[in-house]
Amino acid sequence: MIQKKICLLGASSVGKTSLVKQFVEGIFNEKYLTTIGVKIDKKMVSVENKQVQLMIWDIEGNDRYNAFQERYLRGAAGYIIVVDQTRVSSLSEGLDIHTLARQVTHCPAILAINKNDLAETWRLDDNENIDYQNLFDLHFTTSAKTGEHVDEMFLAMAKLLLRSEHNDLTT
Amino acid sequence: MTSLLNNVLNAMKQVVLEVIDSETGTFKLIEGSSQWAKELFPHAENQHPFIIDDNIPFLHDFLIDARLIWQKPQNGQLRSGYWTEITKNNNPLHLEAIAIKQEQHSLLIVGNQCDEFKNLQHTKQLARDLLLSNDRLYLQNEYLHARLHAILNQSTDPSNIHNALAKVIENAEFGIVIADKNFTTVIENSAALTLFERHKKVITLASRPIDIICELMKIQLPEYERIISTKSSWDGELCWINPPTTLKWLKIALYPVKNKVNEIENWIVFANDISTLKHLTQRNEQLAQQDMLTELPNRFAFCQTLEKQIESNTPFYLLYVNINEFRRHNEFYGHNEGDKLLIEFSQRIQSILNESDFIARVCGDEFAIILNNINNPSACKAAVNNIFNHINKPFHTNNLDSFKVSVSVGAAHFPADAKSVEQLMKFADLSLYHGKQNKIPKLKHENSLQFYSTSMLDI
Repeated sequence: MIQKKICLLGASSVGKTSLVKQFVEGIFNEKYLTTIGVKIDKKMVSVENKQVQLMIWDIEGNDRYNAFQERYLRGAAGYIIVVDQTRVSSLSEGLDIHTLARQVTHCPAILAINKNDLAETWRLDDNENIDYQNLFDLHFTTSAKTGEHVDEMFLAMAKLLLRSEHNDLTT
Repeated sequence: MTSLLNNVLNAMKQVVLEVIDSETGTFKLIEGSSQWAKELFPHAENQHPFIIDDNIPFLHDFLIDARLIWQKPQNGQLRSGYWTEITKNNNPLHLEAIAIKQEQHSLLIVGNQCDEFKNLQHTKQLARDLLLSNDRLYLQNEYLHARLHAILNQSTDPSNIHNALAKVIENAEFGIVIADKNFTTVIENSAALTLFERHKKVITLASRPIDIICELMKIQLPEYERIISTKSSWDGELCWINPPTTLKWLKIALYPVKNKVNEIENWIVFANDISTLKHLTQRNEQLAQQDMLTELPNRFAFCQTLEKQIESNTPFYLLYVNINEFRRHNEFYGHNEGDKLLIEFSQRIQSILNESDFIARVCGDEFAIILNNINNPSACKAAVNNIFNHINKPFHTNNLDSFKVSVSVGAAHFPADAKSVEQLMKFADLSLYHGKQNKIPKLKHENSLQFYSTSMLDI
């Protein structure tokens, strides 16, 4: 069995825990309960006829009360930076976290623009879209509430990780 | 001794593991025997060595950092930080591990920190809710400012500005007036014109809504000059009497719009006709003098009492009390909870005042108190400290969320500081404002008392 560690990173209150809950348990809870420390969930997915166990590290959001800790990325095969489309400040905070993460790993990274069931207050313009395409391997607009693009995102991550593993083996 | 230690560890929800082989992650349970530990380490019984593997991935990962501590010759320790583990029996455990090197012993303490975790979660939750609320307010402010600026800068042609703004505000059911820094009307909606209509006469410049509002504020608010000079916002009730037929009670809110260098660019005024409500209350003379929400005497009753008090020529202190960050509280919990706070707040103060004292709600989150039989600052301070003590106790929302409030108090003395109603009110307000402005940021949320001094007039 292939096992891969994925970290969910981002500012606080962007919906990291809700994304994991939606993906792993298929449920969404409207009530916001802030994550403290780390909670790890596992889910088996089937990708290209291979069983991959995703070990998803849901990490407490970074803000003035909790600084980014690079040690949580140790052994990560990939990470997802989650931002909130109703809060533009979460994008800059997410990009700052991405910059810090890039100092310790060059594993595949996805940008998740979450809460797409709510009215957006910001949008990437064409230039930003191009810029962020270069920064991230993929980006998705997701809704932990409706489940939109949540499974697709995690499956895409699993595919990225398998390909990245394949490339590592062939180079 | 071992049994005692075991009991202590169980009470503290901790287990102590001794490192057998740090490279393979092999441990032995040496103290602690709680049920949660058995669920977490099912192979740890009877002091059998067992391996911590990636069935507990967080702890397994922490061992990499812990090894560095255990391999060092000197004493040391390292904390893992919190993590949450769900046991096979579906029990959530909120854990923290500490790697310890002490006198050649390599130990790993694992604690089930449920209470600490929940406390921390509650605290951070409140802090983060506040951050979010702050973010939202900031965005709303930015948006409103951007809209206003965009409209005001769109064109130099006043009619275009009028049209654009009118689209935004015309449908409002209450009066909205936007004036320039000199209170010259830039725009006013139909509701404002209707509110200040005088027998369908043509509205002349002298009778525009903004002029009437300014005139009423000048006459009825001793603190009017301070509000304008300090570019502050104000909300409260005004009475518009224009014989022979007009007597309207107005709820007015005045907001400054400032530019980046803190200069006034515009004033925005919201005006509501609350006469119907007032007329209903005027069936009873007492109610007419009463604040409808808190049932305390209102501003006018207060002015009358203050006047009588001065006539009696007995020394007293006049206090102005303002709830710190009340607007933020309102935004965060909603206006119903804000009203609930005002009611409970007023009841608490009322409950500790002497019979000879007097309290009134003079505007939004501001209360005025006349402290009788007190004639020196230290006695006044003691009375105010008593108020602080009662305010310091937690308040509760309808959802039983607990929160605390603090107040800023300004105090002026009769007859030492002033001898007229207007001046006393003005000086108490000035002291309150001065105390608030001069708080060091660290004490922003602390209770404060500021006595009036003539130096405040120089500012």
